[in-house]
Formats: sequence, structure tokens, C-alpha cells
Amino acid sequence: MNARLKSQLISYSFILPYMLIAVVFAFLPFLIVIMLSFYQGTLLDLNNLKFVGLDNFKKVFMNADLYLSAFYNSLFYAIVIIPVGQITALTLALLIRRKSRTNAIFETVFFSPIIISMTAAGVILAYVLDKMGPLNYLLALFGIPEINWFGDKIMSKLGVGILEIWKGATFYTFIYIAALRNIPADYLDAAKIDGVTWWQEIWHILLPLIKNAILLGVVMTTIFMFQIYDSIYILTGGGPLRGSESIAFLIYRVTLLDDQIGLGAALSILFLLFVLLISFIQMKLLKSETEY
Amino acid sequence: MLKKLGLLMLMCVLVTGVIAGCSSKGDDGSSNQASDGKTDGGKKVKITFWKAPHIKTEKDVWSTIIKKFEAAHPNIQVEFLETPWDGWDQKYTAAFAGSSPPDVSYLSEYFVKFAKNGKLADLGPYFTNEERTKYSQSVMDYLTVDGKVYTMPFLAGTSVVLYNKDLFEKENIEIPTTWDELLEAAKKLTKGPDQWGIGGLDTLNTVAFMGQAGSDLYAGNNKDVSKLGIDSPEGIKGFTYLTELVTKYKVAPSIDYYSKPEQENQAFYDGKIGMYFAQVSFTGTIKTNAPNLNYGAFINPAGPAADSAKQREAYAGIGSLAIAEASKHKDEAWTFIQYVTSPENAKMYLEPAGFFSPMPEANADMYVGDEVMAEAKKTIEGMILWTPNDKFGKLLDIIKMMRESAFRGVKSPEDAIKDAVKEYEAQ
Repeated sequence: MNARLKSQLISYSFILPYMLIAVVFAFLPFLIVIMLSFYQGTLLDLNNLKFVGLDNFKKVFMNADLYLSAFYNSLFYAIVIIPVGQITALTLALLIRRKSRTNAIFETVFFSPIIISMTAAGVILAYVLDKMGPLNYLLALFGIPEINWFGDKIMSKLGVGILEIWKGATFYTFIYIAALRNIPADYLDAAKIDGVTWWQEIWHILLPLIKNAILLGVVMTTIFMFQIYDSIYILTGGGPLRGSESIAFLIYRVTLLDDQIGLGAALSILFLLFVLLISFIQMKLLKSETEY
Repeated sequence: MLKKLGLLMLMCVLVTGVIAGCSSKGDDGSSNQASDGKTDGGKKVKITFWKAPHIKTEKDVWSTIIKKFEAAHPNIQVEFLETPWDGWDQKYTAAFAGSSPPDVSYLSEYFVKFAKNGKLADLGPYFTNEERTKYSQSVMDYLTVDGKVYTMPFLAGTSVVLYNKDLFEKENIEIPTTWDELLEAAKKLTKGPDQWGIGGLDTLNTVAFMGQAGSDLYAGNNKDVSKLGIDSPEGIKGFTYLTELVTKYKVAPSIDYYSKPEQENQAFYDGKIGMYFAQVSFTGTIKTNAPNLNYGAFINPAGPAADSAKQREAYAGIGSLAIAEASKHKDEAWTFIQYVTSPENAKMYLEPAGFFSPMPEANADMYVGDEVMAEAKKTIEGMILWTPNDKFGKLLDIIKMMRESAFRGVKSPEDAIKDAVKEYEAQ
């Protein structure tokens, strides 16, 4: 065995475990979903699936009104959670970007929601937002009428938004802190000598320099926002009247609760195409021509 | 070199762990559900039994029954698993779709989809004609799928109206026997901000009210499960009456008034609900949670259905026991089923849980002297069972949405019915 081949084999052996996992748990299921979208059948008897061609896709478009509300809900989540979450994450990152003992404490505090499980966080928030829960009790003390978080389509979506932002936003804070701390000190020193204000420093120096990190954050959160499922399952169950159901939750309902695996797979494929399109547009819009 | 060796060993341990985690075998080498022990040679055979709970003491009651069974059948060991109702369908579907279903399982209306997909053992060789004659024809028809019987009837549950005797006495109200009387009584019982005339108007009762007006759940005289029969003048009449109890007359709490069903139950225990539409088995829960509640029961007040048999329609269901087709111990599983469904043993579960036996002769000496159950017994004889449907889970979800949209005033009862029918038939 020559040295080059040996070196290549060693290199590939390092990525082999990941490749195996990716093939078994990502690529293979992806191919199976594509295949299932052309079949009809039940989860109970996967050996007797019936080939139906494009029937599942036709069904989705013919009964679009049954599925469109999940689509609109997902758009709502994206429009509300992405900007609010990203602005929160950026603000926090800018506030604690310098290394110090106090900021280390804040970093720990901001990191804590990430390590709490979604189930625990959801149960806590469900208790807080309950009609007879502590939040409405507090509001009543100030004479503010109670909020029916789970009986109103908009409020239930906002409840899910609060949970997602609380649980997820600070994750991006750490991505932005890492990017901010990588900016060479010379730039900031030079700016100081030039007498820039704090706002000019943020707007003209810091943000452009971490644009790639922001692009990563926005694209990642967009993909995650269209996939949200667990927070909805725990907090609202998709209700009221499926008013907080996301596309991912709809796919779960159609596939597992209604036992229509072919239809669920077709919805998944259409959903994938949609997310790819959105991500592509975002990358086109945010990609900077200038490299710093 | 040592470092490399250490890393290699760590990799091996991790990979082995992942592979071991993927296996469904238990520590003893047997599969964790349908057991693969040996039936012959005097060895003890382990069978698994899954059931979702109907009472708080479910585990204790079954533990007593299983102990007695094991004493009488020393070669069979039964492992009981209480499976929660939450996520029931997915858990059982996953278990039966895989290779590890329970040997014996308790199944309600959902049994059809498991039977139709070949997941349940045909009980033909075990369930003799002589035994079948002990059950009514309607029960046997209900359990027959494509000409075969896959489950053994175990319990029968119906619904009644439970009422708070103290509130009835205070308001001097007679037991209502018609829809008009029900509304009048409910108006008298509804007081102030938090006392309601009626409670318990859930998804199952929604279908019952439409039935009381003369509507069938399914089309074609209730036989064609591919279409719904509720989009009829009778169905609209029944659903409108039910909706107006909440939205127009406000004698029943709005859909958001209680956050959880348990809160509504508690309101009945606390005397904040005068009449509570409930399944008979709810009396078992009252015994545990509100033993001093002064309550009685009456059968559903009559609706305007032309068919007198339908006027007092109430939700009724048969719970049955099935053997998995994949079970390697069908004989032992059948021995267990026969034991627990025999009248003397079934009573050990049925009485604390507030159920009846689907075998009429077994009910004769049950609940002697119990005024509430005496009333409930009347409903057992004329119970109307829904036609078995393998899309039952989907149907319930659609009816739930239909009820919610009308109760919230988002749709008129008629539009809500039409949309429900459309969604059901779009499958």
C-alpha cells in the first residue's frame, strides 16, 4: 500500500462513523420518504403498500383547505419568531461580548434555557399561561383582564413563540458572541481613535463583520421554525381548532394519528421543497459581496 | 500506541452500545413484549398483557387477578403493563407493526384496524359456538370483522346522566325525561358565575345527541363506514340543540371554561355542576375522589327521534381482549383470557371499575343495592354500538373539531357538520 493511499484511507476512516450514521438515519429515511409518497397504506402493514403514482400529491392540492392553515401558522411562526429571536440573540451577544467575570455569569444564565428539556420547559410555561395560572392571577391584581392563551388561535401561537424564543434564542447568542470575539481588536481600536459612537461601532463595524454568522443564524432558525413540533405538542396540542398547528405537526398528525403514511410523505416532500426555496431566497438576499 | 489502542477500544464500546441499543431483546434474552420462552418441558411461560387504565387502582386490581390466575396456572406467568391513554394509538400501532406486540391486549373500538391488518389472532379455534351464544347477537356482530372474531368481549360501558341530588332538591327539580325538560332543569340549576346546569358534553356525547334526534353516525343505515350519516336534518337538529346549550342558553360551560377535563370532574364533585353526562365507569372515579358526593343517575332524556330506540341513545362501547398474531403463546394467552372473562373473575375488575359484563347473565348479581348502577343497568340492554371502523381514531378527531368549532361560534352547527363530513370523506 503506498503512502498516499494509506493516508487517504486513514482520513476517510475518521469520517466513516459519521457517514454511517448519516446514511442510516438521514439519507436512507429521506429516500424512503420519497418512495412512500408514491404509495398508500397503513403503518400496521408496510408490506402491503399500494402504488398510487402522484395520487397523494393530487390529494394535497385538491384538499388544500385542510392543510393551508398549518402552512399559514408556520409562516406566522417564521415571521414572529425569527426576527424577535434573532434581534434578542444579537442584543444579548452585543451586551456581553467582552470577556469579564460579570459576563461569564450572564453567559451561564443565558445558556441555562438551552439545557432544559423542551418537555420540562413546555410544562412550566403551560402552567404559567393557564387560564387559572399565576400570570393571569398577577394580571388580575393590576386589574388587567385575563388572557385566554390556549383558547385563541393568535394567542396560542404567541404562547408557542414565547416558548421557542425562551428556549432557542440564546443558542444564537453564543454563535454571535463567538463571531464578535473573533473580530481583530485593531479594527475596534482604530474606530475608537476615529471617535465613532457606540451605535456607529455596532452598525458600521460589528454587524458587517459578523454578517456570515447572522446569515447562518437566520437560515438555521428559519429551518428550525418550519420544523417546530415538540413545543406545539406539549403546549397546545395544535389547538385550538388546529390554530397553532405547524407544517411539521400536520405531517405528524396525518402520518401517525390518521395513519396515512403516503399522504404524510407527500406533505413532507412538498414541505422540503418549500423550505429549500425559502432558504435559497434568504441566502441570496443576505449574502454579502464583500468579504471582510 | 497505547493512546491509539485506547481510542480503538472506546470506539468499539460505543459502536457495540449503539448496536445493543437497537436490539429489542431484554436482559434475559427474551424479547421485551411477546415472549419467546418455551411452552413445553414444564418450563414457565411468560405472557405479556397491556391495558390502558380505567381506574386509579388499575395496577393493584390486575395484580390481584393475575396472582390468582398464576396460582391456578403455575406454568404461566403474566406480566402486566399499564399503558397510558395519551398516545395509545401510536404506541399500540408501533408495537403491532413491529415484532414485539403484547401477547394479550385490551382493545376498545380501535380493534378493527389491528384485525383488518392481520395483527390479531383469529379466535375461531378457541372461542366456541357454545361460548358465543352467551353474548347478544349485536355484540357478536360488532366483534366480527370479515366473518371472523378476533377479540373476546370483556367489558361493557354505557353512559348516563349523573346528577347532584342536593342541588335538585334545593331547586325542587324532577328528573328530566325529554330535551325540553332537560333545558328547563339546566336553566334552574345554572347560577352565578360558576354553577352550571349541565357538564360533560364531550365528543362522544356529541354523537349521542345527534342520535337522539334520529341521525345515524354512518351512512347507509349506519353500515357504510366510508361515509358519515350526520349531515341530515336530524343530525343538524341534534347538534344545534347541543351547541345551543352552551352558546345560546349558557347552561353548560364554554369550551375554555375549564382548562382540563379533570377540572370539570372536580366541579361536579364540588357541587358546581347539576347534571353530568358521563360514562358509567366514571362512578368508579367518584368513589375514589368524592366518596361523600350525594348523587344519582338517570338515563339520557329522550330526543325527538322518530325511532323510539334511538331517542335515548347514549355512548356505549365494548372493551375486548385480543391475542397478537405474532404471539408465540396463543394457547396460554387464551387460557388467561378465558380466566379473566369468566363471570366470577371478571367481576373482580368490572365492579371496582364501574363496568358491566357484555355477558347478560353475569350482570344479574353485580352492583346489588347500588341505586346509580341499577339505573345504568337499564342502558346495557338497549345499548347501540357504533359499527366497527378502522378509521375510528380519525373520526373522533374530526368530531372533536366539529364540536369545538360550533361551541366556539366559529361555524354554525350545520357548517361544522358539512366540513366534518367533507374532511372524513377526503381520506
